[in-house]
Order: sequence, then C-alpha cells, then structure tokens
Amino acid sequence: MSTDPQQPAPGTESETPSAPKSGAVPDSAAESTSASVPESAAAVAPATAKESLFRRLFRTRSARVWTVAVLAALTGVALLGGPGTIAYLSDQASGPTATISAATGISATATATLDTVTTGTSRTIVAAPGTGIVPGVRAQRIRFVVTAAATNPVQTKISGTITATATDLGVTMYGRGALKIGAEGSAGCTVSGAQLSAGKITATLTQTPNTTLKPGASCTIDVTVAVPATADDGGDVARELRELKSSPLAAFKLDATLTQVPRSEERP
Amino acid sequence: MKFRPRLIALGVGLALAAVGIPTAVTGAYLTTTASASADTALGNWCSVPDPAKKANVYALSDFQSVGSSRVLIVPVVRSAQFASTEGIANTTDGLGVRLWGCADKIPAGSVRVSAWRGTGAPTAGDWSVAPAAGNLAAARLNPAGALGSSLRALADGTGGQAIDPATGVAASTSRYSWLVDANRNRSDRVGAVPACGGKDCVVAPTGAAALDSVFSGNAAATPSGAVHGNSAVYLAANYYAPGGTWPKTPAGTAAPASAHPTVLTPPAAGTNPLEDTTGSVLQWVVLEWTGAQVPPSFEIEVFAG
Repeated sequence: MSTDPQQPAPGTESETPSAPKSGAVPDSAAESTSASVPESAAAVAPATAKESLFRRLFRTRSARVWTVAVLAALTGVALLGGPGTIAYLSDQASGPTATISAATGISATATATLDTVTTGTSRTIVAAPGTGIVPGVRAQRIRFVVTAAATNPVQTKISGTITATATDLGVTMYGRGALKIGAEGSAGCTVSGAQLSAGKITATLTQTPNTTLKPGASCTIDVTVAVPATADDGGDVARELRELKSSPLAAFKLDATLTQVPRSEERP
Repeated sequence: MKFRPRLIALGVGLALAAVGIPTAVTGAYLTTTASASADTALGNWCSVPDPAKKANVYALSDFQSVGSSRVLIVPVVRSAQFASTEGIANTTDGLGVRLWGCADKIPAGSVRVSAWRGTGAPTAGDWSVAPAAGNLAAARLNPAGALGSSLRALADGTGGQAIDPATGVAASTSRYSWLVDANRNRSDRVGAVPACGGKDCVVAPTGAAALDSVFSGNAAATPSGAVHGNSAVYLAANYYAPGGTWPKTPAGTAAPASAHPTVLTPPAAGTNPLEDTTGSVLQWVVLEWTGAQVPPSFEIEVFAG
C-alpha cells in the first residue's frame, strides 16, 4: 500500500508513453522505466496505435481496483466451487504424498489358461485324445486370473467385460441351445448379465462390495464352454457336427479395469 | 516494492490454471487395465446314432440273452420308422443293415444278421415287446418263443434244410435274405452271394462273421466298399420270388438261380403288415452276436429303402 501514493502520477505518466515507445523504440523505454518493465513489455505483443484491452484494464487506478477485484472473485469461485478440487485437496492431505504420485500408480496382470475338462460319459460318443470340445463328454474351461500388482499402493476393485466373439457355427449352435457358456468367479469377482448381440456374447464383470483386491491379490473367473449331446430341438449334436470337428467356436476376451477404491472402502 | 499489476494478473491467471488441473486430471481414482483372451474349438470324436433317438438302431448291449448268444428279432417294414438315420447311397433301394461302432481296436467276437420272409401273423405269446400303435421298430419278438425259436433255427443254418415237396424249394432257400455272415466282409456292401445252382439248392447262413471283419470303428475311415466312416453298410439279397416260390422263365420252367436285392414296399393302408407272406412287405430280421464284451457304442441299424 505504501507504493500506492507514489505510483499513480509517475506510473501513469511514465507507463502510458512508454508503451507506444516500447514497441517502436525498446531501448529508450528500458531507460525511462524500472528494470521489471522491459520484461513485461517484451512479453506483451508489439503495441498498435490503439490501446490493448490488457492495458486499458490497468491504466487508471479505478480500473486496476476493479480488475484485481474481479480476478480475486474468480479465484475464489475456482477454489471453493469445485467439489472435486476440494476432495482432491483433502485426500492429498490425509494420505501419504506418494499415493497420488503418477510415478507409482497401480498396475495389474491378466492371464487366460485353456483347459479341457471331462464333463460326462456317453454310450454313443467317444472322445479322441487331444483337446477341444466333444459333445456331451468334454468341455473347455478358460480360467482368467486378474492379479493386482504387489506394488500397488492402494486397494482396487474390478470392473469390465468378458466378450465372446463366436464363429458362424458358434452362433448357430448357441441359437439351438447346442452351445452352453457358463461363468463363475471367485474372490469377489462376479460375472453376470450375459447377452448375445450381433454375434457377440458380452457379460459384465463386477466386484462384490467388501472384497476389494489388496496389492498382490487376484481373482479368478472360470468360463466353461460345453456342447450338450442333444440340442434344444432334440437334434443329435455329435452326429450333426461330425463333419465339423476341430472347428473354432468362439474367442473369449476379458477386459478388466482395476480402479482404486476410496480409503473408506478399503478392507482392513 | 512497486505495485506490478501485470505480474499480479499473470500470477492470478497461473493460479487459476493450477487450481484447475487437479479437477481435470485426478477427478477419478487411479485405474489400470488388463486383458487376456483364449479361443475355444471343437475337438475330435467318434459317435454313433443314439438308440434313444432312433428306434431302428439297436445297441448290441441291449440284445436279449438266449443260451450263449445274444439275439434281437424285429419285424421290419418300409416306413419312416426304418428310414436310414443318415443318407447313404443305397442303389438297390432295399433292405439293409448298418453296423456302427467306435473302437481303435475292434474286440474279438462275432456277429450274424439274416432276414426272413414271414409265414403268417405271430400270436400274442410270440412277443417280448408287442408292437404298440404300429410301432414295429420298438417291438421285440421273444427269441425263445415258438416263432422266435424257428427263426433262430433258420438263422444258425440248422432249420429249413429239407426240400418242401409242395414247392420243390427248401424252406430256408424260400425265406432267406443274407445280410451278414462269415462270407461277408467290409470290402463289399452288396456281395457275399451264397452259391446256388438252381431250384433245389439249399441256401442258409454260414457261421457268424468276426466283428473285426465287418465292423468299422474309425470315424475317419475313407469310404470304400461297405465302409462309411465308423460304420459299414450291408444290403440284403435273396434267390426266391415273392411268396417263396422259385422264379420261372417265360416258358414256365424253373429259372436259373439269380440273386436279387430284397426290396420292400410300404404296407398298404388298412392292412396288417405282420400277416405278409410275400416277403415284399415284411421281413423278420434276426440280429445276433457272441463275444465276451463289446464297446457300448457298437450297434446295428436296420433300414428299409
């Protein structure tokens, strides 16, 4: 405030003429004003004959007062108005600084293992050695394992989808009840709401509450794909598909997202 | 210190920008993604028709025990019940059997299949399972009954050897259609014609065929002769004329022996096919096998047409 009384007269007088000069003759402007002025003057675009809005905002005392007041008000709104901002600030204050650092974020791995499992026996169907689905006798099981990295600084929960993209044969079989897909999750992972759309079966992956994944923990989802010996329409599937042995049926893809849970939802 | 409004403005602007950043960048919590995939496919297998779905398919393990052999006797007519389960090239359009199985190594044992012209309707006591509502494929003649016993005697080559004075033809010759016996093997679905010089010859089944010579247990087997994948098809043939008489020449004398396919015609509406004696509507098919054990997939399909 002590500078205020001195500033008005010389400030307005020296700055007002110096601005046009600074554009035209920068050297003389540097001499007549303080050391800091050339920096700001240099930053400002070369002045034209008409005064810029920026300059008009600070030319007179009353303009400066209004301008500062408006900027202060805007700052206040920005600081107080955004709930996200406030949450961020409080979260940062309550936890170690490292948890927010991008350098040590969270990571996860997902694996898929394909197994052939025996589901039953049949008098009329004999499975040949090897892998693959055999109607009524052998199914395939895909075991998806999603593991939260041991280095994760926070607990996480899983969301995502399992998508089965079926071949034409797979779609036809599914429509006749000759392709059965089951999914089962462990450690709080649940699979639900399988829907067929445009040749794709999509199921939703969620995490039951209070089963958050601690660092290093994993959850398993078993998807079992089986072909019954008898279709819904009574057809003998093994005989009907006898020329289609070893045909691909469906490709299964798991897309999982691990999201940090709020501190309040972390398990002890 | 001098009041520097432009610096203040710059500072306030930077402060506003800085305050804005957390909202934009850390509005959500930390996340990461992971994905994995796997493909499923059909495997490889061998299969046979399911007797539970196809009534004209008979599993060997379901046969009835008579002495040391296991027997099944069914009345066969040309109808939807006896349509072949899967399309096969049947150039004779006749009666036939298809031997099904899945086995890398076909076990020891033997099988014999013959078909016989009927001589009149069976009595109620001749049945193990009487035909219900015209369902002949599910019916079973009692192999130990009067009709069953006489058919078994014909089937093992001991009955009907004498020449019938009334017709001049042996009973076996006048009723027999050969399907599977010791003369048969996988190389030919039509052949194995028993020798017969003329009207007074006696044709009858020989011994049973080894399972390994008439069954095919490999789903990938190339079609050849009687073999069609893991099945083998054999067609019936006989020497007699409809009704059991010997064929005649245009001049009215006994014709030279000539085997021909056993072809059935669908029963006329309102008739009882079991009363047929021509051999053109009804055939009694006698299935039998011996052996310690066969795989559960071994079965015999009987088809007409």
